[in-house]
Amino acid sequence: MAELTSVSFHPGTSVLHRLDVRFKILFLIMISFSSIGGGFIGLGLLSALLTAVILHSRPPLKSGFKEFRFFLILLLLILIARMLTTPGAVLIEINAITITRQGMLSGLLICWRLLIIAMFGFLFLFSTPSGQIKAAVEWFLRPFGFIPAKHIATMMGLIVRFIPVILNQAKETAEAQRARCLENRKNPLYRITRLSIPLIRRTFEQADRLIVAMEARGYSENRSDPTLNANRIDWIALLILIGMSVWIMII
Amino acid sequence: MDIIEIKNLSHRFSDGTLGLDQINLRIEAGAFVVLAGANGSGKTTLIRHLNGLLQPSVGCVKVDGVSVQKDPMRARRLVGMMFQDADSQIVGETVYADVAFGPENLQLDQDQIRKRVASALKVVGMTAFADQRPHLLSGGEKRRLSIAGILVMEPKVIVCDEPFTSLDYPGVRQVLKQIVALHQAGHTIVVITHDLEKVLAHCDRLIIMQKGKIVRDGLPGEIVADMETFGVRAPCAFQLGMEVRSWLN
Repeated sequence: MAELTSVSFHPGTSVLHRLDVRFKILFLIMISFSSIGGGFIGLGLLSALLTAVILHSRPPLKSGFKEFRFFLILLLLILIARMLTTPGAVLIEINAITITRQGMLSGLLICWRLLIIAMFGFLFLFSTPSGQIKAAVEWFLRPFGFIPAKHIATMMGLIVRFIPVILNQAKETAEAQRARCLENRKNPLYRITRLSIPLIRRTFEQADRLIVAMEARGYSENRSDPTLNANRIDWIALLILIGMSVWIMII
Repeated sequence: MDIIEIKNLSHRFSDGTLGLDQINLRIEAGAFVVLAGANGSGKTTLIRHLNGLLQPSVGCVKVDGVSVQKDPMRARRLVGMMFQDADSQIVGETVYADVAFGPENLQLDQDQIRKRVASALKVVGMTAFADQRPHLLSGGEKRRLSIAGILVMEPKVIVCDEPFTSLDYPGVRQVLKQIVALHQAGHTIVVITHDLEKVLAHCDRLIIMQKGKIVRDGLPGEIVADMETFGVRAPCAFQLGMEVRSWLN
């Protein structure tokens, strides 16, 4: 039995799973904008929404955080950089290093925003099959005749399909290298190089095999896409999200 | 009637290596053929010409009387292919979505797709798995899923490339049982393997390849004696002077 990456579609029956994918994309855009424009109260509200959605749809949070560990490190670096470089009232001073109150607040705000966007993105991937994402992208691009909608939608669908494949390859390659005591090498550059070269090679090989298998089953851009249906629940969710976004932007 | 006709087929890879060298082959509809040979003998290269995944450098391949080069989509519908690595054949995020992948490519409507998928899953005994994630299935179940993904296209020929690789004994039996049932249902079966032990009792024709050529072609009992010359191990039962028995008994 294979252990799968959590950043992939998990079948389910939650409200999140039942929402129309076009609405989910809209919600993701609205949440991202409100998050960027919102302050601490707005982010608190979005976090409450996030918690409610997580409790209801039950994504694999534990393994999700494991996948997100590098992103969390990035957030930590952003926070440190903000704390050290933003001028303002001194909070802590050790030798030449000064941490300001403004820096701490602005760092926390940025990290919180990015975390909320990433978590909602994770929930979107967790609850949406790539075929539906492809169909929705095609639907959104259809009015723009000059944009090759089918082509772009196919590429996006394949990218989403490939995220778990690449993450799995990375995990397997890292485990194989740990089994050969790579952790004894402390130089991070050496470790990244040793991981990335076989990972890129294996990803291309895997992509090659997948393409052959897809071709053998007659894959082309012109295929029956899933039917997209907007229901009452989608419109209710849209109204709630619009109200919440407007309120966050105002306050 | 011949379902597959290969005339004077040669294939040269982009690096100049000759993969296939003047292959002539006819396979009757409803036959159960085993294609054996050492690694690099050209087995996979040959079968990839059957549905246009590879194009001949010289020669012609016909499926059910129509050239594969002229209509590769028809060939892909008629020749279902089960690949060596079941994982890389999985395209869908659920068992249902994976099986539906082929009919979606045929641009069937959703009702037809649902019917076909339900029927294919029933044949391989996986109806209860429809909402599961395919990557979490066992090896034997993944192979059965691959078979369902092929059956849903309603093919006439089913080609299995090393279908027993990395399967445990119950897995081998599950897959073998499925292949034999499909043959009994009237499908033409082509199995590629270098492990003849598992399948020889069921086939009616054995073809051995070496260096891109067909070096032996006939009844399994007639060929098995000198197959080790070509890098294919003869079944253990044969070496002991016994009849090769089915793994299903």
